[in-house]
Amino acid sequence: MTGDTGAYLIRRVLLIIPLLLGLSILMFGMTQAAPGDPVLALVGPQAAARPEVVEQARENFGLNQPLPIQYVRWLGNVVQGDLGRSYTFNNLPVLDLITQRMWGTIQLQGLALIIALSIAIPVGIISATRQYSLPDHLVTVGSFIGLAIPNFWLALLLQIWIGVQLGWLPVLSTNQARADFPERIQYFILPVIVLALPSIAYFARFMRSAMLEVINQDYVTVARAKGLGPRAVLYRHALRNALIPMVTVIGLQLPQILSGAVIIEQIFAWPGLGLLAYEAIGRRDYPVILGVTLFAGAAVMIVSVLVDVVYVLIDPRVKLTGSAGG
Amino acid sequence: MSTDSTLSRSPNTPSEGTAEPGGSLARAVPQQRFGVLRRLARNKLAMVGLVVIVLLYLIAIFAPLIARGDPNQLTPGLRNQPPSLESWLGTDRNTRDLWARLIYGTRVSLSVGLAAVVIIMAIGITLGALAGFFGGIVDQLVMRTTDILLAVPQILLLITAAALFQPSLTTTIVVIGLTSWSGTARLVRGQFLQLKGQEYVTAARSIGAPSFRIMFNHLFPNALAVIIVQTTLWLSAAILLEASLSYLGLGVQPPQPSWGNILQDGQRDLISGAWWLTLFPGLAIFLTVLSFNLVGDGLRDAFDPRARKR
Amino acid sequence: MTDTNITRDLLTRKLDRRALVGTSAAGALAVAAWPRHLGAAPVRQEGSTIIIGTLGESTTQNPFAANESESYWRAEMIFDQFVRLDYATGGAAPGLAASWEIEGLTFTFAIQPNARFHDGTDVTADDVKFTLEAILTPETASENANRFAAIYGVPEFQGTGTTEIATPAAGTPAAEFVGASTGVSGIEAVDAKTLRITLARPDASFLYSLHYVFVVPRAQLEGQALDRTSTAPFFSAPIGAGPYVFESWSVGSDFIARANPDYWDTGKPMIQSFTHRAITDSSGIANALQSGEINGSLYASPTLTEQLQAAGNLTIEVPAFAAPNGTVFNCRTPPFDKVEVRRAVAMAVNVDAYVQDSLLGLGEAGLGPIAPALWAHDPTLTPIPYDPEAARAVFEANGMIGQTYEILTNAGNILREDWCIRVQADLQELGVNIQFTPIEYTTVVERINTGQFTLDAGDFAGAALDPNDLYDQFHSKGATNVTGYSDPELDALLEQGRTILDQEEAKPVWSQVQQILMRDVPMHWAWYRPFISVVDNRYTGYTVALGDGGLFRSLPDMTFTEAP
Repeated sequence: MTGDTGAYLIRRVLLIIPLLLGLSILMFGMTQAAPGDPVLALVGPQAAARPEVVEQARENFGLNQPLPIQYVRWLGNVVQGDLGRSYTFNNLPVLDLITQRMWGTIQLQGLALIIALSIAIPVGIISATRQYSLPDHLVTVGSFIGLAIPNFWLALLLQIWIGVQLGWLPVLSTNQARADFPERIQYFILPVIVLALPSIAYFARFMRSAMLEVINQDYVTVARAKGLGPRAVLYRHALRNALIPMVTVIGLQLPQILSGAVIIEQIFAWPGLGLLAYEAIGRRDYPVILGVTLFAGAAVMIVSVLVDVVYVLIDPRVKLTGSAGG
Repeated sequence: MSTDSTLSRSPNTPSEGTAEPGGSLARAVPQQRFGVLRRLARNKLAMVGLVVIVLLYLIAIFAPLIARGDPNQLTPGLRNQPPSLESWLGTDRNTRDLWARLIYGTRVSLSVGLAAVVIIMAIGITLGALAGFFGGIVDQLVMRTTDILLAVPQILLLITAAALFQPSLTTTIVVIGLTSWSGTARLVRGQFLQLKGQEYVTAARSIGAPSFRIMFNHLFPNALAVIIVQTTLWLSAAILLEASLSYLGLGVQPPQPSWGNILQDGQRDLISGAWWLTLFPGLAIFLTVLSFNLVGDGLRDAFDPRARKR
Repeated sequence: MTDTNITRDLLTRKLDRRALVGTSAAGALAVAAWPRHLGAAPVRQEGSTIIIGTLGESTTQNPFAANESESYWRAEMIFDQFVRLDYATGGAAPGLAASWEIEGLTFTFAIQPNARFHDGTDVTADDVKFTLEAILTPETASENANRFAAIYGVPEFQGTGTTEIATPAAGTPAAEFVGASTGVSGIEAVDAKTLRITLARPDASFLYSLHYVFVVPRAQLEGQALDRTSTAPFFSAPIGAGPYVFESWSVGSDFIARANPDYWDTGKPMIQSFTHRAITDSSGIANALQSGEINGSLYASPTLTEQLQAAGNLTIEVPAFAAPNGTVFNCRTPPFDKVEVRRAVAMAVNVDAYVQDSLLGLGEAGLGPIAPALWAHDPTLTPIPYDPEAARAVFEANGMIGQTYEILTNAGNILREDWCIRVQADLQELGVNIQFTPIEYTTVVERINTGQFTLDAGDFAGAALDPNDLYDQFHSKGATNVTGYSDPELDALLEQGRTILDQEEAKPVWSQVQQILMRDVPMHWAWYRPFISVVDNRYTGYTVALGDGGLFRSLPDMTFTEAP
């Protein structure tokens, strides 16, 4: 890693701070600008019409302070690692809720990603090496279909068909964390299928075009001319170079993957971060909404720096310079 | 590599140019406009998609003629009836005709897509152009904002905004528009950044042409290929986002029919056997998104024949 | 209170539950009681357990912050209630208070002699006094504080003034009443197991309100914050004197409690542990019931009942109805300031078709603000007839044809959304346009409370279980009078009604109240919402009842038999 690259990466890391600050202002502003008063829901229907109770509750939650003070106080706590306490999840610390739920999301999404890649990469290679063949056309058409199916629709159809009518797999995953290893697998199958399908389509197409690009490049032609067998060329040179851009693309897919988590976790009652966010939004639990958003934002930014690092490590030709993140 | 390459967000088809600054597209336009159309016409999948899209817009425009009735009409007793000759696609829990609701839903879903894309493109092109052309602090501001927007899972932003600001047709359009422009802005910026160094731009500058005119007369036409492809892909993405939001109950609100909320409302009865209420709206979304993706992809290939060949 | 068949979004789903608490939190009466008794003598069954699923999750373990049905129900299981509501008569029944004597405005309660908290300490009068005062402390922000405002000395305790002695009726405490030396003077711990409460004015709802008192151990909570934001460790592992002992709960996962071996009601509970599982999706609940993943559920959707019945292993129970729903009018906004217009809107809607198509016959067409199942209901009332032609004439006379009016409801409550769709379609037929606006619950509350609405589909008015609910809703000075309705004659009747403790004596007053409200239609009480419970056939012994927890309120009485 050259000095330039190192400096670049350090700048990237430092940039995360102002970006998260911007994100927190955006989210905080949004919760405050919204109509509707969360305190009304918190005091309960019997008391919502009684101003004295509503005011008292507002004070208890610290929501009677001027907005900038609320923000600064919240930010001060966040810096010390305290994301506040949830309004509606038994007054628990937001950080505890996040750390409790994130493993559910990591396990589910990680598995879906691994399965998607292990299918998509070979499929992409086959498709590229036999361009315009029948399998290639099938992959193209299949990936269009995979990308166009609404994931919630697919989830519903699978639930009713495989879960209810055939009764092969559980419909809901509320219980998955309590199940032991062999039984636990059954809870993963349907959500993983739904999550992996669009990723397979996406990665397969990307792999295909990355391979095609490499195959058509001069050094491959040269290697061929030097008499290396097609297999050797493919695996020693082309594959390695085609996989490099894949790393970037996988990193870039992270926000997409987390987006999928929100809907899929809701449908399968999967206890993860997506479901937590969805529930919190429904209950106007502002500390949890802010916490999860910030957490997701930080995760995406950190992963994108890591992707750059990996990129440098696997491709020695690359030097990262230029304005950080820009 | 530069991270601001051409990452676009939700348009789901991976652009073959994504990993490199979107340079190659620029060369294609405008000299080759007719070549583009000819190449597009040769792409069978894209043409199928185009036909479907035209049909969908015709359905949306002539909905009252096709729907065979009022989408909100209740008919006592006809609750959750399966498809039949009287009611082509069956009826829902509230005894309304699914065919009529889907046809009118086409109108709502396509309009949301169009309106959202207008916002996306207006913001994306303007900010991208300004950032690319002027650079410096403007560029920094725009790019950092896109960094923030790209870092948060879009659905999370969407449902937070939609829930907090009262779900409705307008809210749906606005929140999709405001959260989706960053990819387009980055692409357009990349184009402008690259083009502004070219000789004819330098020449125009040297004779004192105003910035606005340079941008509009010289740079914009050259970025058109990127913009057209983005527009098509975002049309499909916006329709899918509307459906997702409505599915979560945070998009277009009943009784106004949109594909997403018909599906959301209908899936409640899936378990009681009313499969038609889930199947048909889902198919409508699927076909529409597929068609837009086919056309968008076809356009990209047509603009950039080199990519197609490799 | 859970909405039934929403799979839509938790968002509205959760908040909607709260909207309904207004009705059901009012508690548990016993409009319909049909106990299912076992032949054999009940014995504790080792290892017996029940898993109960609900759409909603409890939002707190703090009984002072409870305001939705899951939290109330769980509080009842862990802490027990000071006074319970008798399922059969609607009157008060012994809870932690074994018995009581009433002398004028003085109530003397004897506490269950063998009641102990789960840590082994005695439940004393001091604990009950502490609990009541905790509810009354303004900082607690309890939604139930107002229910105990009639106790002598409350204004002094809350720092809002001095106790006013309203009517010099028999037994009214003399002005020189001293009472307790600390806290609320009207709440005195006479000895360890005797509590005396003195009211400043007659309050017909007082005993009823005491079922909101979930007794907590003073020793554990003295000096701690008790509001929803309290970080007291007590609330993450609560200790009560109820039939079940808290075992574990992490949010988003099961709540587990085991039977209290030292429960004061010796021999109960018979089922050794219970699990409460929140499932955020109503079809998910149905699936789980069929597959046996859960053994019982509350508030099933009418649309799912047929399917569940067909499953064969489940019993579906529909208690009598007590949750009046329909169209709330803003009586301040023309043209709905006119009685004839409000009446015409009611006449225009085909309520029977709604009950048939949307409630599937499981609900019931409405008959006024007090449901037929409640003791105060006037059986001579007749429903507002369905007469679209007469309605059209009124709309024409008032220039409403072609005009558009907005109807609000909280999004996610399917039954209410369906009601709005029905109102919209039927009025459209007569030439009046209705704009249907489903919005998020807190925004509905805000708009309703500030009078920024025209029509609303909700239950912001009508008696949940206690007819005295109508006082706040329709008295011209009522705290929750959202319709803006006012009538001097009704004011007088409502004032009278809430001082009469004897039900038979109070009936004629409530009769007149209902006649006036049915005449003036500030709300069209169009339908009663069915609260459907589902339970596995192997569980018996429960009592079908309304209120938080439904039939699972009688969980301590239930038994499990392997082969039914």
